Amino acid sequence: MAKTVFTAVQVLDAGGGEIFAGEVLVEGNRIRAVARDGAQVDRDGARVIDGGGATLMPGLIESHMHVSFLDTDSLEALGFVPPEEHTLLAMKNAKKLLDQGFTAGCSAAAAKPRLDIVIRNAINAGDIPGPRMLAATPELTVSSGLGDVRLGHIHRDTFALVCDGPDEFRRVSRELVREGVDTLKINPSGDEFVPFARAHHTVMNEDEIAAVCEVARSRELRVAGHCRSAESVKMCLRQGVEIIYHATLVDEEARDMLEAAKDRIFVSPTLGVTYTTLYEAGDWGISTDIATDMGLKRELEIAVENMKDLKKRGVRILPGGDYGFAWNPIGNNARDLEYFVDLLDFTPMEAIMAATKLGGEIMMMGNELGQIKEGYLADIILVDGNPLADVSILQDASRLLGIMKDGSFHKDPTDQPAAARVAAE
Amino acid sequence: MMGGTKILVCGTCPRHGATAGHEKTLGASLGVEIKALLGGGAEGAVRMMNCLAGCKNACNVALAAPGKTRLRFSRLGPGDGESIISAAKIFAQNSAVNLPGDLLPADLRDRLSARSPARIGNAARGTKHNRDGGYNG
Repeated sequence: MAKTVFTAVQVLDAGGGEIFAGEVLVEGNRIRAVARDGAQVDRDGARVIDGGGATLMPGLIESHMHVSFLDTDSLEALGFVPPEEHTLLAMKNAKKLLDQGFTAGCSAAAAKPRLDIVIRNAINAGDIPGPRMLAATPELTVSSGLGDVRLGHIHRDTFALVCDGPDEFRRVSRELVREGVDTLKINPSGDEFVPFARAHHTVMNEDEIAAVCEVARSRELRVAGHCRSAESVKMCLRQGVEIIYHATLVDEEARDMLEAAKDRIFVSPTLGVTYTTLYEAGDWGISTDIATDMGLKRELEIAVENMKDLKKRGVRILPGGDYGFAWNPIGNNARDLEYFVDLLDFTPMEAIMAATKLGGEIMMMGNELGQIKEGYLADIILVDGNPLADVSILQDASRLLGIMKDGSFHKDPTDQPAAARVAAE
Repeated sequence: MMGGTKILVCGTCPRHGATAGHEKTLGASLGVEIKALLGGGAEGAVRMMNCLAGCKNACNVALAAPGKTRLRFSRLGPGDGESIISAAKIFAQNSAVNLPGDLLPADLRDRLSARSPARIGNAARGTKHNRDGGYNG
C-alpha cells in the first residue's frame, strides 16, 4: 500500500483540540499515525512531503450540495438543459468542488432524477474526480410548491417532481429508491422568491411527509426537508426527518423540538444563498431593495438569531449555502465558513469543525471521516496559511497546496516546501 | 500598510469568456499584476477567488476586512492594479465600517458595484436579540 508522510505541518485535527506541530502518516486510504511534540511517524517506504509549516486539516464537507445545479439565474432554467449536457456539466461541478478542497458532500437535491446517482457512482468507480457523495432525489414538491414551475398552459420541469397526496409521494419515492438514491428530499415549505409558496408557507401536509418517511425507513434511507417555515420543521421532526435544511423561521416551539432531537438531526441554514441574493445579485436584476421587499432581509435577520440560539442549545449546525445559482455559484462553498464566523459568531475553529467533524457525521461516517485521526479516511487538505487566523483563506484555491481524497492526491503538493505562514495574518 | 484588508480577485472572470488555449483568465492576470505591484510580502493580502458574482461586468475585485462592509468593483482589467491598491490602502486606513464612495479613487467610484455588510440584524444594530423572533407560519 502506498505510504505518504506529511512532515513539518501544523495539524488541525478537527477533534476540538488546539492546532499542533506534527506529522501524519497515510497508508493506503487511511491515516495510520499522527505524531506530535517532536515525535515522528514511521517513514519506512513512504513518500515524505515537507509541508513547510502549512496547515494540514481534514477535507471540507458540504452539507447542502447541488452538484447538478448549474449556476443559473432562474429555477426553470435547469429544466431547459438536456440530460446529456447536464451530466457533463455536473461532472465539471464535481471536479470544481474537489478543486476547492471539498472532499465530501451530502447532496440536497438533484436537478434530474438520476443525475446525482450517476455522478456519485462514477466518482466511486474512480471514473471522474469528485467528492465522496450522498446522492439525493430531485425535490419532491406539491402542486404550487417550490419547484413547481409549470404554467397553466405549458408544462415545464426543473429540479423538482410534483406529487400530490401521500400515495403519489409514496410511489415517486419508491421509484427513486429503485434508482439508487441515498436521500429523499422534500419541499414542505417555500421560498421568498416564490410568490405562491413563500418561506413561511407550509405547503405539504403531514400525511405526505409521513408517506416519504415511511418509504425511507423501510429502506434504511434518510429524508431531508426544505424547511423554512416553523410548521414544516415541526411536521418533519414528528415524522422522523433527519436533515432539516434552512430552519430559518423557526419559533420557540420548533427550537425546543430541534433541541430535543439534536442527537439525531442536522440543521443546515444555507445562509449563503440568502445573503448573496440580498447583496450581490444586482447583475441579475435583484437589487438589495428588491430582495428586501421580497422578504429576504427579514428572513436572514431572523435566521441569524435563530441559528445563534440553536447553537447554544447544542443543535448541530453545518455550513452549506445552496451554492449553484448565478450569484452564489458552485466553487464559492467555503464562503459559508466565513458567514458562520461573521454572522453567527462561530469561532474559526467551530466553523471548521462544523465543515469537517460534523460533516463526517452528516455523511453517516462520523467514526471515520472528518478528522485527522488514526484510522480515519485520508481526506486531507494542505493549506498555505492558518485558517484559524483567517477562515477566508479556504476560499482561495491557490492556497490549497495539496488535496488528498481517500489517500490519493487530487492536487499534489509541489516539491518545494511552502514558506511557513503559521503566524496570524 | 494593508492591516487585515484583503484584496479579493475573481480568478474566473470573465466566467464565460475563458477558452482553451488561454493560460490565464483576465481575472487571474489582474491578480498577478496586483501581487507584483504589492510585492515585499504584501502579496499575501491578495486572495484569488472562485467568483465574486459580478459576472456580467467582468473583471471583479473586492476589498474585505474583518468587521467592514465588503466593497466590490466591476469592469476592471489588467492596468487597474494601481487604482485597486490605492483603494485598498484607503479602505485599510479608514476606520469606517462602510466606506463612503467619495473617498475612493475617482476612477473606481462608478465601478463600485456591490456593498456586502459584515454583520446582519441585531449584531449590526448592536441591540439585544429577541429570542422569540421566529415567524410562525
